[in-house]
Amino acid sequence: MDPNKLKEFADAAFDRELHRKNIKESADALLSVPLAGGLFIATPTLIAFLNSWSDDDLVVEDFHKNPIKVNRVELLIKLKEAYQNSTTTWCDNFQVSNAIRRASNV
Amino acid sequence: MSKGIVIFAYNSKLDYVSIATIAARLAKKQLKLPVTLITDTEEVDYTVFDNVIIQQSNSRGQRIFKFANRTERTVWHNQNRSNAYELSPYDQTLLIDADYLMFNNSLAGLFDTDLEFACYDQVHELTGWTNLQSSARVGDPGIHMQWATVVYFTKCNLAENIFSFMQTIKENYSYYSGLYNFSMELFRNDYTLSIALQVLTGYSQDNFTQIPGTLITANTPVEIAEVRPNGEIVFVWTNRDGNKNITKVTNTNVHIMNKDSITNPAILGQLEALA
Repeated sequence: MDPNKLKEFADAAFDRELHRKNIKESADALLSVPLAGGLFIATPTLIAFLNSWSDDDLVVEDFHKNPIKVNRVELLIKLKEAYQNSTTTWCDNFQVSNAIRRASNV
Repeated sequence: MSKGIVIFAYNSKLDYVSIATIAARLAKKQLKLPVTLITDTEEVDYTVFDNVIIQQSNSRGQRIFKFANRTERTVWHNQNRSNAYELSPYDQTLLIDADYLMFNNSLAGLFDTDLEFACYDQVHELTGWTNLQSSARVGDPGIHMQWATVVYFTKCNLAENIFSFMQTIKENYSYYSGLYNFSMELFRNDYTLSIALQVLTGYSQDNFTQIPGTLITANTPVEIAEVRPNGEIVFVWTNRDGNKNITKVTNTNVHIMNKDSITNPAILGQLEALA
């Protein structure tokens, strides 16, 4: 770290709750999945719903409330990938947050 | 279908072209798409931009920047934005502010949708303040603000009409200022966009499509303290109570409102290393 930054960092307060809100917001941005012209958000509810369905093709409401005809397996794979990516990013950053005890650790 | 990114950058007291160059490099790295710069200078890094469109700024607004320790008025060329539709060489365009820095590819999905036009309608402030979102209305009582910082559009009637109407609002800013009851002191693209969307979608505030998530923003008093090779950006700011605060985000797209901070040579160097 630049030594000139040390004092600046040492003088500052680190708000863990705020940091956690920021990293959650950042991770949530990774949940979007485009398919068949629609845009879906990888939520546990949608993933569970698609897992419970048996037909290959179905119509799902996307983020913009449009009915989109999709291949269930294709959407499920993409949603799981996005969910895993987002939550892993969130978890990694959350663990970093836990380790920060003072501003100089940031 | 051609796809690409468009950035407007007009130098004033601040070197917006340098900021746009960094934004373009980051955006190209994340989205792997060509970038077009619209500017009024030929002093441009042509290795970064795939197209450069020279267009004189047709007006000079003023913007007030409230930094941690001072307030500054500076000339601000922001009124050409409504020309984006006609100037964009792409069928699918992501129009971003010069100070919107991309550290992930979360916006790439927009290009694989049937959306004709989309922008953010929510802001997340890294400071935890809620000034931007809570005051995010055009006028009083006003309509919900739609943010012009990041706009996705295709060559279609809807987008053409929106930009054309933004142009009309710009040319009749005084009239719309009275109609929507907002101050004329500052020309804001966010206002022209919000009004155009509201009118063209049936005077409704819910008939248009948002970009999922929030526009993550570092307000003007927030300085970039450090940009690290692992994609971490450390921010510092002073709260109203005088206490200095620090936070960081990793691989996150951020709208940086503190132009002083982003044009600091040390920070520019660190950003260049990441781009």
